[in-house]
This record gives sequence, C-alpha cells and structure tokens, in this order.
Amino acid sequence: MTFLQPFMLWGLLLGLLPILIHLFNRLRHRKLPWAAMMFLRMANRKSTKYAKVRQWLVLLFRMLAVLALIFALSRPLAGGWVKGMMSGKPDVILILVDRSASMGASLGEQTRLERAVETMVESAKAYGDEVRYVVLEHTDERPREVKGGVAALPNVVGREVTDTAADLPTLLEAAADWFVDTKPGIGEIWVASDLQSSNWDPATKERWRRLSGKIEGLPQSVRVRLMALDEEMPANVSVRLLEAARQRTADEVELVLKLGFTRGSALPVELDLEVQIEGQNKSATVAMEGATHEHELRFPLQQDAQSGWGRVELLDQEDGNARDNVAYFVYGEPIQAQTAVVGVPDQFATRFLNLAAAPDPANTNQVSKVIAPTAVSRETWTDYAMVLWQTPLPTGEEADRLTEYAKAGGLVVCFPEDASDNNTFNGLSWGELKRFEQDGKTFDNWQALVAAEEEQEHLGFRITSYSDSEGPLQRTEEGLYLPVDDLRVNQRKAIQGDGLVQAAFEDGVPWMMAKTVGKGQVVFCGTQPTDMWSSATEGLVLVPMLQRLLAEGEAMMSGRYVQGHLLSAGDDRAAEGERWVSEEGGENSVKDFNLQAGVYRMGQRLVAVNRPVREDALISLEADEVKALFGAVPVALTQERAADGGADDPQEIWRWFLVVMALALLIEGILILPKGADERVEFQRSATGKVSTEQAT
Amino acid sequence: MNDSAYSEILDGDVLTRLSGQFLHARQPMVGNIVGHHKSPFRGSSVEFAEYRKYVAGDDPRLLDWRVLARTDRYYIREFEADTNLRCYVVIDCSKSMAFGEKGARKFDYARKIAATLSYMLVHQGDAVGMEIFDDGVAMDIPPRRNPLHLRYIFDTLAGAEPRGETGLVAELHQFAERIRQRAMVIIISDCFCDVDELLNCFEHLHFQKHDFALFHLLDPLELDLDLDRPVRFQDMESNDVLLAEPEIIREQYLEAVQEYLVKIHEGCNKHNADYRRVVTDQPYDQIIADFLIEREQLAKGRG
Repeated sequence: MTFLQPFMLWGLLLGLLPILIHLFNRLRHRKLPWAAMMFLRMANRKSTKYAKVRQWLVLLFRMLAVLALIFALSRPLAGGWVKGMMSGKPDVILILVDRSASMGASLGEQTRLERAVETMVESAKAYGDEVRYVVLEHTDERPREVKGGVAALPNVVGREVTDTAADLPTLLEAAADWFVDTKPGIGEIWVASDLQSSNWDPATKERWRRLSGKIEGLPQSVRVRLMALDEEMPANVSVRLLEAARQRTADEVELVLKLGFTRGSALPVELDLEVQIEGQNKSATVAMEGATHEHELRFPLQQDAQSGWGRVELLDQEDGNARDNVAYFVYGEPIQAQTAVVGVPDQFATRFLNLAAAPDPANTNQVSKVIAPTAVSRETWTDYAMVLWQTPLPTGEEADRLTEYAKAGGLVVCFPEDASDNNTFNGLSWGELKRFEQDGKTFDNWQALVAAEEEQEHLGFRITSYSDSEGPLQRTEEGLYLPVDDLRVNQRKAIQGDGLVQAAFEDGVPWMMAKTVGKGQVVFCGTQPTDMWSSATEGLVLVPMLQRLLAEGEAMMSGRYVQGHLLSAGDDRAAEGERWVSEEGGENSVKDFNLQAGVYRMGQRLVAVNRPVREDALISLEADEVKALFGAVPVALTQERAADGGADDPQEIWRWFLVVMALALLIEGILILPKGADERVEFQRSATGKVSTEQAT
Repeated sequence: MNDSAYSEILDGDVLTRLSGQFLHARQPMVGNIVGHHKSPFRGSSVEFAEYRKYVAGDDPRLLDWRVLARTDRYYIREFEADTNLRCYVVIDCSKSMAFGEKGARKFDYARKIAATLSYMLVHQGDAVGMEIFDDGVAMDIPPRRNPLHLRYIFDTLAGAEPRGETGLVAELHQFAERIRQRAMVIIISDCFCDVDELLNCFEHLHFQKHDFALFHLLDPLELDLDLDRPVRFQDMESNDVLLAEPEIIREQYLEAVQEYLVKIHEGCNKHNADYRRVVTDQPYDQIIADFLIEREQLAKGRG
C-alpha cells in the first residue's frame, strides 16, 4: 500500500491518544473518604468481565477511529483485490491540447484539432462527471480545472488552431508538476498530437528520461493516452519567409523577398502566389522541385516607401492546411548592427576590438563605438547588438543593467585585463594571469614565441578543443576551418564559473565560455587581443569570431526593439504592458500577437509574426517512438482501451477508511450508550422519607 | 430555644411549625405517670374500655348501678388508662456518619432529627433518653422528662462527633436486653453494617415489644455514585483503600445498594419497624412532620 500524503502517517501516533487519555485519567484520580464501602466492594466483586471488556472495546474503537482518519488523510492507494472492488475509472483526466499550426491540417471537414477535441470529449462522456477534468493547453501551460463536468468540456477546450509550435515535453512537465502539486488520485493524461517531431523534441533524451521518471515516480498511477493524428499529407505545401529586404539599386528601390517552400512530396509542382504589399496584390508563380525549395522574388517599391508590410499566400492549394500557406513580412531601411566596445579608448585592445566589430562601416550595416569605462552609466545597452567588455568586470548597478540587457536578448563578450580582477559577472569570473614558460623562460609577446619555435614546434598555450560545426568558431560557408589551433597564446586568464565551454586549451582550461542569461548570452574569452597575450591580433580568428557573435547578437535581440524584425508566434511573446495591434484589422483586430501570425504594430514599431520554423518541419514520429519516449510510463493509443490497461494500477481507498472510522465511532457510541430507562437502577425518593413497597423494590 | 449554642442542631422555625403536632406511640406504653398515651392497663380516664363481672375485692364504687338495677347482675365498668412514654433516641455515631458536605453530614442531619424529636417529647410530657453508639456506647442518657434534662441532651448532641467503627448491631442487642419495659425507640443511622445481623437486632427489639422507628440516613452521592473519573475510595471507618472507576462499577454498585435497601425495608416491615429512608438533601422538618402525622392518623384510627 502506498500513500499520496505519506507524511500524514506520522499522525498514526495519535492513535495512542485514547489510551494516553485513559491512563492520564487513571493517574489523575482523586482521593475520596467514603462511607458506603460495603457497596463498593460488592460492586467491585460483581463487576463482570464484560464491563472491563467493554471498556477495552471502547478504547479499541476510539483508536480505530483515529487511525482510520489518519489513514484516510494519508490518501492510501491499494491494488489487487481491494482495487478490484472498485471501478477502474481514473480520478482525474488531464487533457493536453496541442493547438499548434500543424494541428490545423484538414481531415475531411474537420481540422486535426477539432477531430482531437471531439474524440476526447466523446471519450470523456464514457467516464461521466465522477472524474475531474483538467485542461492544459500549450498556449497557456497553466492547468485549468473544468467546472461543470463533461458538459462544460467542449466550452473549455479551445478549438482554434494557432500559428505557434507546441512544446510537448514542457507541457508534460507542467502536467507532471500539477500531479505533484495537487496530489490527485489515479490520473490519465490525454494527448492528441500529429506526432510532429519538432513538437516532441525526441533528441533531448535526458529531458525525456527525467520526465518519464517523474511521471513514473508519482505515488499515484498516471497513464498516458495518446491520440495520434499522424496521417501523411504529401500534397501539403508550406511557405515561409526567409528574408524581406528593401534594397536600393542605382535608380530604383525594390523589395527582395526570399521565400522557402516545403512539401510532403518531391514531385515538381507549380505554385501560384499572391503577394500583397501595402494593400496592393501582385501575382507570382514559382516552379518547385524537390521537397524543399527557396525562391527569391523582387518587387519594385516607390522611392519614398521607407517601410511597409505585406503577406505572401499560396493560391489554389487544396493541401489541407491553410495555416502554413501564408507568410507575413515587414521591410524597411537596413538595420544597423551596432557594437559597443567598453575600454580605455587609447589602448590597443580597445581599438582592435572596435575595428574587428565593424571592419567596413561604410559598406556594411555594422558600426562600432568605443565607450570609456567612466561613461558606461549613460549608455542604453539595448541600442547595441553586442557589447565588448575590455575592462574590469562590472559590479553593482552597472552589472545589473548589463545583465538586464543580456536577459532581453543582448550579447556581452568580456575580455581579460592585465591587472587582477576579482569581480564576478553572472557567475563567471577571471582566474589568475598565467604566462607561458619554457624551461623557466618567458616571452614578451607571441612573436617571441614564434621566433623561439623550432621546426614543427608550437610554443605557447595551444587551443586544441573547439567546436567547428557550430558557434562562433565554426567553419566558413566554404567549409574552411578557422586557424584556431594555430593561435599562439603567450598568456591567458582561466575562466572560472559554470558555462558552456566553446574552446579550451590542451590542459582543459577554457579559452572561450558562453553562458545563457535570459534570452541573451554572456561570453568570456580568456585572452586579450594584444601581442603580449596572443596572436589573435592577426585577426584570422578573432575577427570572424566577433562577426559571428555580432550576427548572433543581432538575431538574439528581440525584434520588438528593431524595426522590421521577423518574430515567431508563441516564441516571442508580448511583454507585460505591451499592446500589439494587428495591421490587418486595425484597432478592431481580434488577432492575438502571442498566438497568431500577422503584422503587428505598437507605436512606430512594426513587426511580422510568422509560424516558428520548426512548425513547418514535416518529420513525424511513429506512435511507437513516442511510446518509447515515455519509458516505463504506460502509454495507450486511443484506439486501445486505456482503462483496461490499468487493471493492476493502485486505486485510492481513502473513502473506505472514512467508512471504517464512521463504523468505529458508531460502535463506540453504542458501547458507551447509557442503559435504557427500563434497565437503569434508579431510586425513587420520597419527600417524606416514607418508602412504599413499590418504591423499595 | 433560640440559644445560639444549639443553632446547629435546632431550628426555632421548625419547632414552631411542629408545635401543634404530637408524637404518638403506635402501641400501648407502660409509663409511670398519667400521660397522653394508651397504657396496657385499665385506668381512670374518661374513655370506656369494657365491662367485667364483679369479683370479691373489687371497689364497689366501680359497680355499674344501672346494669345492676336492670339485670340484677354485678358488673364492673372499666376505663382506659393514659400514661406517658419513655423514648430512647439511638444515634449511630460511627465515622461513616461523618460522610457528606460540611454542614450537611449524615451526623448533622441525625442530630437535628434527634434534638427536634427530644424537644417535642419533653414538651408533651414524655421522658426522653439517648443512646449514642460508635464502636461502643459513647453516651447513655436515661429517660427523664424535665426540661433541664433536655438541655443535657442538647449539650451531649452538640458535643458529639462521629468516630470509630460502627458497633450498631452489638449495641442494639445489648440495648434491647437492657430496656425491659416497653418503650419507643427511634434509631437514626446509615445502617452500614451486615443487613441480616441488623435485622436480628430489629427482631430483638420487636420481641421486647418496643415501638421502634428507623431513620435510615443516606447521602445522595451514596445512592447514585455520580462520580466521573477514577477515585481512590478510602473507608472512613477502617481506612481501607479501594481504587475504582465509578463509570465502570456504577451499575453493579447501584444494584448492590438496591438489593440492600430492599432487604432492609422488608426486614423493617417484617418486624413492625417504622422505616424512614432519608436522603440528606431533603428538608428534615418535612421528614419529621410526616413521621408525626402518620403516627397521629394511626393513633386516631386505632381509637
């Protein structure tokens, strides 16, 4: 027998209370001089065993009542024959609703979501109102209990498909947390899904292992019923906006739209598009070959059209999912990617970083600005895509402001100082300065190292471990490696703290470490860009590294700060107090910024919200693969009868203990009931003292 | 009689209320002077008793001349004799009589009954004596009828305190032997002794032709054992201790009390004793008044 509230079992000690009270009562007897001892002695002799047995029975039943109450409060679960006495109904059904865009695919006259909701409501009717229903939608992630039973269920579960992507592991974690927090009885989690791989994220095996362990470890039995809506849709085509740019050529301004198409089959097909730009419709045709296709469209713009918005829609596509046939875009002047270099302006390292961050400001959108450490308090960091910190680590208010910037999507890259720096920034700090030595000899700069090298020799600290497939040190588009292991590092500072090591020296000391802070990142680089420290001043590694970090920072910065940025529905949510209004419907728009694709405006800011990229991924999991993700947690496909599968699951039996308690109290009450008037010995008193014969007897 | 020294045993208001009543004997008494009670002998009262034949030696003044004139036979006309009575008030002064709340002990109650009845008897011209028993005879006051004797009785009552074990049975037997002449005996006791032996005493008294009444004093608590938690009962006479839970033994206790009371009542009836069960929370004047009224009705019925 297991218990949902095992700590309540400590209350079993209260079962001794009736005995303790009895003993205490015996101890607190009082002394009484007594005359009629002859009757007491006779009574004591006559006191039958039954009286004593009755007294112990009363105590026993009192104890039983207390124990039964404690057991009931402990919420016991019983399996086997005890459970067999009761029905196999769960106590609570938690319905996970996936309202992602892919659930909008049509199945006949219904969407997948409508089919799923209808099936779940019908299934729930079989259980009736004795079961609690809780709805957890991926758009909210807060479980809501359905008041009003099955009848109210259709009104509570949303049937509107959104343009967001579902994160089912997160939803299931929220469901498991709900079971942990509320401690209901036997539960079932109903999931209706199209098994889209990106929604289930099967690659995060550790996360799934923890999740299944958490569900399996719940004291009560929790089963999963999976409704797989994974019909293949080869004819479905989705369109995605990859880039929208307003470009100025010699004599005209044009809008360049880079579109991506995805399709379930590789057969060639011709796609008719309608492109709406600032209310004007234009047509286009795209010949699609293969399952994915990218296409660039150019439309002339008026010279004075600085910014605008539009939408691309696939026409005549009976592909079954209208949700992925539309892509929205906004365009405007190219965005400046501005970098702030915080450091002493005259220092070489500062100047080098300033140059590396914006090598060609005239011909690119990259600009960089040097900020003296004394002037940082006046800066608004959100104006920058990246902050390079070449000065002692910030502390106090400045550290807080910079952390806020990082949390909002900013990128802060810190470089070490020559002097010792004991400060800590977001859990990362600098270790001791260490200079390379060979046979007790040190070198002034990296050039001295090179000069001292013999053939095939590499003096200095060597970076041997780094990721060349992703991150700032990844290979170039042409597939060329950055010469990271050719860097000559004459001196370094170890990076202390907990973060993701992106490059490390031979001895395991990290050279570059990144730590995610909110939506942004803090990156520490263990060498300063000066000749004394390393050959990074040659620029072959540091410049591309900074360029990539800048691009990442630019991407990470929330688009709501930047004109024309593209957002993903559901992933980029409106902050508190922000009110985004759809450009399509104006003030009367009913579109929800957080859930639906479209073009939204808040003040002067205009953003396009589209489906998240992962929602267009066509890879689906097999039902067995999804089952495998749950590990030992029992999962039944909806075609199977989940209720049958739980025959051995424990059942809550606290009600039975309440019955036992009531019975114990009833018997105790009967035992202590005073005798009836007929049986009771009562003395008739005469006011005069005269006793008649009847009175005497 | 409003002397403050006797305020604990006498109540002037009660005496005033009872002043119009008279304590009658239930049977003829043998007294030494003329009184209000019937005598077993013929006397000179105005109440006709019977005719009997004249025998030589009879006083010729007692001849019924009318009968002689009509029938020519000699008949003597006899009249009832009225005499006084001697009453013994017997009080149980064992330690068990000290049970009860302060001022409402059984012994306090007994003293009030004894003092009130003594006062009435002396004031109706009868002689009152007193026997106070504990484990022996604590005080033996022979019957007298003068008012000064009354003061002696009151002093004795006021000074008496319960002590020792009860010797009621043995002392009653000795008392019955000692008092040969028929008398009124009023016993005031809680009778916590062997019932059979006590009834033997009553038989003894009955055999001696005494008119005896028993005021059986009981405390309410002794009757219902209304106690709710374990009690270490200590015998007031022997100091024996008994730990018991009243809730458990109450039923048996009440049954034992019931059995005892029935037995004692039946024994009293059998031996023609006037049995009065008195619970000490009852007003004693009411008890006495009823005692007097019933005896008066009995006396009138007999007359």
